[in-house]
Amino acid sequence: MSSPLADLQLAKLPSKIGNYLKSDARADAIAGLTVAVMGVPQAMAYALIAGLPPVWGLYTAIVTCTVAAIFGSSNHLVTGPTNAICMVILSLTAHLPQRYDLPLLEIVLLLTFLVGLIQFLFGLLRLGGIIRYVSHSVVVGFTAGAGILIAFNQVKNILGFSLEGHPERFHEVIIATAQSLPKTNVHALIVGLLTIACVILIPRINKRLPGSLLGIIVSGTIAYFLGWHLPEMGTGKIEIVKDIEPISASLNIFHFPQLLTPPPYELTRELGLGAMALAILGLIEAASIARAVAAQSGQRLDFTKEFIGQGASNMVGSFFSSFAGSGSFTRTAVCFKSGGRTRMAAIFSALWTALTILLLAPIANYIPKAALAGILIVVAYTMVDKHRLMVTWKTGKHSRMVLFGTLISTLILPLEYAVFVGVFLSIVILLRVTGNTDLTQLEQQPDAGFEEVPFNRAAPSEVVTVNMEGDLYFAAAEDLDYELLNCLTPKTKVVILRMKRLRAVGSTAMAMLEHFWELLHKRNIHLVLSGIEDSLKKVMTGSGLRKRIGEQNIFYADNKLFQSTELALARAWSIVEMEKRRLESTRQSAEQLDTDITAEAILSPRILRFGNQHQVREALWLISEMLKHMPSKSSRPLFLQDREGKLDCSLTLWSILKTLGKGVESNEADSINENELAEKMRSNFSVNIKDIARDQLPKIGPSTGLAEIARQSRDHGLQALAVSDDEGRLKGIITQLDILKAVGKALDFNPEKELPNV
Amino acid sequence: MSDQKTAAEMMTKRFLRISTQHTLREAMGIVLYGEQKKQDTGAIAIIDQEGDFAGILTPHHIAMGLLGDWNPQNLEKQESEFLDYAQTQMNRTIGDILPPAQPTVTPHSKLGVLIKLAGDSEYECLPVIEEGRVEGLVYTTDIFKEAANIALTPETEGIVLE
Repeated sequence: MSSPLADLQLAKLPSKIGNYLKSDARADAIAGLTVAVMGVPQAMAYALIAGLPPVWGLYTAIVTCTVAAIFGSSNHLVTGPTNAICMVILSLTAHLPQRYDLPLLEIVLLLTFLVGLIQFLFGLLRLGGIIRYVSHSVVVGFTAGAGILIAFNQVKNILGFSLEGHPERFHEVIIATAQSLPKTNVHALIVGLLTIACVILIPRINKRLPGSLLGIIVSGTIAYFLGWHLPEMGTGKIEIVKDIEPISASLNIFHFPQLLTPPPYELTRELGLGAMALAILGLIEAASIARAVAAQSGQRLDFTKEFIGQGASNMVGSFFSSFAGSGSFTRTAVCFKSGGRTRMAAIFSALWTALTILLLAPIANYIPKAALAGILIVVAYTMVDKHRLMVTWKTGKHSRMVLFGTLISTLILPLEYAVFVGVFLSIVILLRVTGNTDLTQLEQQPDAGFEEVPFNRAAPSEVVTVNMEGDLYFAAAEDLDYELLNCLTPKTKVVILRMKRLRAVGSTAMAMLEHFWELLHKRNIHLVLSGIEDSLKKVMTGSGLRKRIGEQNIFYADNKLFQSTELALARAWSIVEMEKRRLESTRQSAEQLDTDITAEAILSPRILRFGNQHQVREALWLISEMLKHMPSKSSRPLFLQDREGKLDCSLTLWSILKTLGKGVESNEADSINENELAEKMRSNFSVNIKDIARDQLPKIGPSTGLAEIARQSRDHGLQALAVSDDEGRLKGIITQLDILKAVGKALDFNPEKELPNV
Repeated sequence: MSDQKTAAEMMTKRFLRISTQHTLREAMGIVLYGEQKKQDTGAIAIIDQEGDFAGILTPHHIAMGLLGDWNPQNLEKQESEFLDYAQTQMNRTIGDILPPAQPTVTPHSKLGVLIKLAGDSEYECLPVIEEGRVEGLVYTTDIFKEAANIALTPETEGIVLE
């Protein structure tokens, strides 16, 4: 196993850079700029969600984004501050500075480092695949819940007041906000509403215009020139970025997290669970966004690498005044849509953001907090994905439970627990769904196709076909034997289990099958299996079940849909016929019926039913398989039935051989080698058997008499005759040997006495 | 690049031989006795008075021999009519009812030739003759199995060979 870090391939870098500059650099730089234009206001606003200085959002958009791009896998994923993560950071850390008497910023850096460490370990342990098991409904539900929280948390900022105490829970925030309403700052409200209007309306004028950026420029400019940010405004003063923490035009942002030397035990313990939740949430977010964009770009993702990238970005970020980040959906989508080609696009966006700090810091300091809050209200609205919620609601009971379970827990529980609730719910439901083996029954239709009907709803028949689907591991196998018994009717003689669509069959399942076989055996019912795949065959051989059920009753999966089930059905019906005949012959010998010998009495019911729509190749295979199990070397024809299951025509070995031999010239038949001969025979594989079969067969019914049978055989020059019932269904075959036997019996012929003396 | 199989490799060496002088009754005795004893009597080699190969007798020939050109006089009683007729026919000799043409092969005949021959007409088997003697019988079913064996490969789509 190679190390997940190994493929950096440093040695090849110089030539790669040359190629890159020629081909993709321009596209990436433009995409990066587009991302930055949208991302800068977003990053500042998201920091606000976490209760952190907006400039930290910018640092995160620079450092975390760059590191994740270097070590990650996706070409378009833009990592950095995200709304949901910031909401969790707020929920995790807001109350801690008071309790531990430590600066909030240091606590956040410790948290960020822990998150990165956990994610990095996830990557090293190659747990990338695990994310697959977290239902998408969790992401949808969590995002919607976080959106609602963000919206309500920003009301205070847009109304320009701060809340008494530190309300954290949803209802507390609502109550505290409502109580503070009289303190509303009209200036802040105007700035906020103006920004909202810009963010919503400007993109409607032209989709390419950056709504958020123009929003803060417009509202910020107006507020600035009206002097609303000046202390002279008194209660009408609006808060601006500078008031929270001024942005300076420097990139001297390295800051060793003080709490890492060494981490205070009590705090680390308290943050641990939250860090785990945050790490998981970050990975889910990043992975699902990367996957969504990869689905469009066609890129193949390496989730292990992506996890390492995310972990590294947060760990490194904690040394550069960055808070925990993850993949941003909006920025990733913009990066992809504006033509980003490689991971360099994200790095460019970081460079542009850094440039913004250097050049525009003095201006950025005057951005009103209410304007950022306005952006967030719009973001929060879009986070509640109404369409997705509807779709997921309609998808089914399980998705609905996960979705709304997660959504509601985001509102009533601390956010980190909501993440766990979502993950827990999806695992429980995953186990429930996969823990089920779906049973349906197949009914053969007159057109020879199959119809799937609910289990236990098929019309009573001698042959019951059950289709098993899903997983059959230990949790699912329990009680399945008794459940399967429910398909039996008093008429049932044979049960076919179609097992093609089963997965994860283990020893518990084998024990269950064996018990089911025993239960049937007691009831004198036969078991036939169809669609057995190689893996299942192995398990069955190992458990000895293959031997018990009998090879003649097991049909292996074929590439052709229902082929093995068709064969299993043929086998099942021949068992039914055999049973019937045995019953009849015992009854007949008891009653000594009339002397007239009928077709029914002399036919052999052991025949294969085969559809007339197949090709020579399939007939060749089927008959050669059949011959392997026949003691006699006599050539018996194969009678073919049409789509309605009626006797249609007969196919002899000779006609197949003739067709195969057509590809071989008489003068070369002797001289070519075996491979050439095989190749020439295959050239006629696709001939339809109906075209070489013999039709207009004489009508022999169950009650046709011996003399008539013999005459028909002679007049039609047939070596074997098919017997069919009034509906045309094939009942059996009469060979010349059967005729001889019947004549001998009728004439009290004793073969032993008649043997010649040789 | 292997050579084709030959008749000698594919033939069945255990088979019954009877003479053209034997009766249908005796042939029927052999076939039905074989059936009782679960022996394969699908084809019997027929030897003429000089000891040369004369043809192959199958249950089909016997049944057709019993039937002759019989047709029912009275449909109500056709079964007993037929049985009566068959009983008289049983006394005919095999030489009487044996079809004239039966292709033969040599021990060196290749599978390709056997396939072409078997496809020509509905013969139960191809006798393998060397110096006028029947060395064995290649059954159509064996030719068929061998053809399937070399023509079908696991890769041939839709077919899974055990």
